[in-house]
Amino acid sequence: MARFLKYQIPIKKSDSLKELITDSSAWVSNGELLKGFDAVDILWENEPLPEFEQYEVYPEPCGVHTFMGCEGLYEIEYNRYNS
Amino acid sequence: MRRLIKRVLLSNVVSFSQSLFNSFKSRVLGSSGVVEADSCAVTTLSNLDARNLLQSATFVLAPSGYKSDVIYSQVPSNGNGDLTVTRATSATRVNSAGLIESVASGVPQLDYSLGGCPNFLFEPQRTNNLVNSVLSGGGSTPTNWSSLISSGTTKSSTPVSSILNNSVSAYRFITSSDGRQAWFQYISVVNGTSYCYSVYVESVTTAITVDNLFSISAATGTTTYYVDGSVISSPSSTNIVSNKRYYIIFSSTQTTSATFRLGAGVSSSSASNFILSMPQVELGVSASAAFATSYIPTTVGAIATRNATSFTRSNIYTNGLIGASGFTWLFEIKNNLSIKGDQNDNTKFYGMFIGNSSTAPTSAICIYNDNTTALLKLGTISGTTTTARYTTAAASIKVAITYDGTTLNAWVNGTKQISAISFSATLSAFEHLAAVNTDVLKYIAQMALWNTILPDSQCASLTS
Repeated sequence: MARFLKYQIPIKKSDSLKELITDSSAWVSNGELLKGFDAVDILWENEPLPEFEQYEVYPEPCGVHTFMGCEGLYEIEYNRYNS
Repeated sequence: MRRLIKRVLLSNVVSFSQSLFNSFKSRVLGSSGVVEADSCAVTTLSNLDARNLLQSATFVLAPSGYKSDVIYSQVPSNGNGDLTVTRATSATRVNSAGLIESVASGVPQLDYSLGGCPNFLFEPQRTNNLVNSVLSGGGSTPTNWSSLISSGTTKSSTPVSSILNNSVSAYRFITSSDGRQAWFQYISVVNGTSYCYSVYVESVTTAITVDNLFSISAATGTTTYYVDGSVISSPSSTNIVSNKRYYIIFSSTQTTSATFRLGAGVSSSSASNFILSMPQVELGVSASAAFATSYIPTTVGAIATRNATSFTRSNIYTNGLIGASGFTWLFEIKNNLSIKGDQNDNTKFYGMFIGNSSTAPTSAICIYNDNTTALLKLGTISGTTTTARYTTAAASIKVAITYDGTTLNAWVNGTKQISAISFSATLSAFEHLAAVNTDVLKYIAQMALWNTILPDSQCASLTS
């Protein structure tokens, strides 16, 4: 099952982390919302890579960006994190 | 009497094409699928049958049957030719009534936007960078949009029902000859990157010129105006018409925010009366690779992404769709618009192929674009090298490829364009028909396979 997670990734690490994704997971950069960090949304095709876990953030659903029709997937993550 | 009986008997004869389609339809409906465009599919089958090539085909796909994650093929009838479709997000399509509607995650886009018979639409990942493109909120200016200018004796922008999409709002703009009424959004843009800004015009009573409909702030680079895929050479003297999608493709030459304007009289005062809906700003990858893809709805405060669509069909050698002595592969692709591809990563292959892997072939025959030339290419993959064998700027192509494990031939739109090129591969390893990292292979109109090498004359005829 796909998972929709949000990240604040240091800009200098953004490219190297993106290269770790080898499947069809979708990566969308929303720009530098915080200075020095790339705000990234990922729709994971499979389980998220552990290297990304430390950069997870949980803004109120759905933040500034969503994947079409996948708002519920992020709400699941948000509610799980805040429960 | 005998003549009458013969006439009755003939009228009751169901053609092989129709019979095949009837069986196909029963199979699709029996597995909770959807069947559309029956007559179009029968016509495609009949065109093959008229050349005595339907009964010998090992795989035939005429766009018609689908359900979530599946595109059904008419041949074979056992499901061994059905395509597995992947798209993790919902999407939109133009349906048979000409309306834009949402399709759920994984559901193929059987799209009627080119008119006539539908095609299966395959698009790359795209984000609509405008927030509240569904224009909700009411009032003279929808939520998240700002008023650019409102002046003149008569000027108004009023929410109305969209004619083209039942799920979004539209706005009717009315101005007098001294009037202007326009909105805008700021979007951060990247220097040297291309964008496509599009909007639908639904109902025009009094027309304005295209350059007075929408624009991007002057600090951006060269802009080219289009209507439904065709360049508008004189936007300052071309009037908007109803039920068309207009768009601008431009390469940004600034690094901060650009103003994306929309409405009646963005450039100068003008009498108008028309409806706008579904604005969209899409980011290309390279300097001139932006183009309009299907509409991506966005709501208040958030932009949205539609994922790429890909398909795979495995075991095509094991299941006899291609043969030990070779195969013939027919496909028709429409509306490639002669644009550059999205490919910005040379470690991945972007396109459609028959080869030895469903995701990253190291031996394959392929059709693809890249981000260096505005051309569609037929080629081969060997190891990590993709070699173009033929390129074309045609926006609609019918291709027949024959391959016997050592020699490659191809006909494009009736003419032999690849003649006896040497390319060695193990046919038994060609187990996969697939499209990955979908590029600008946009509309697939038909596809077929034979597990033999068809004669030159038939390949030429099939692609004419």
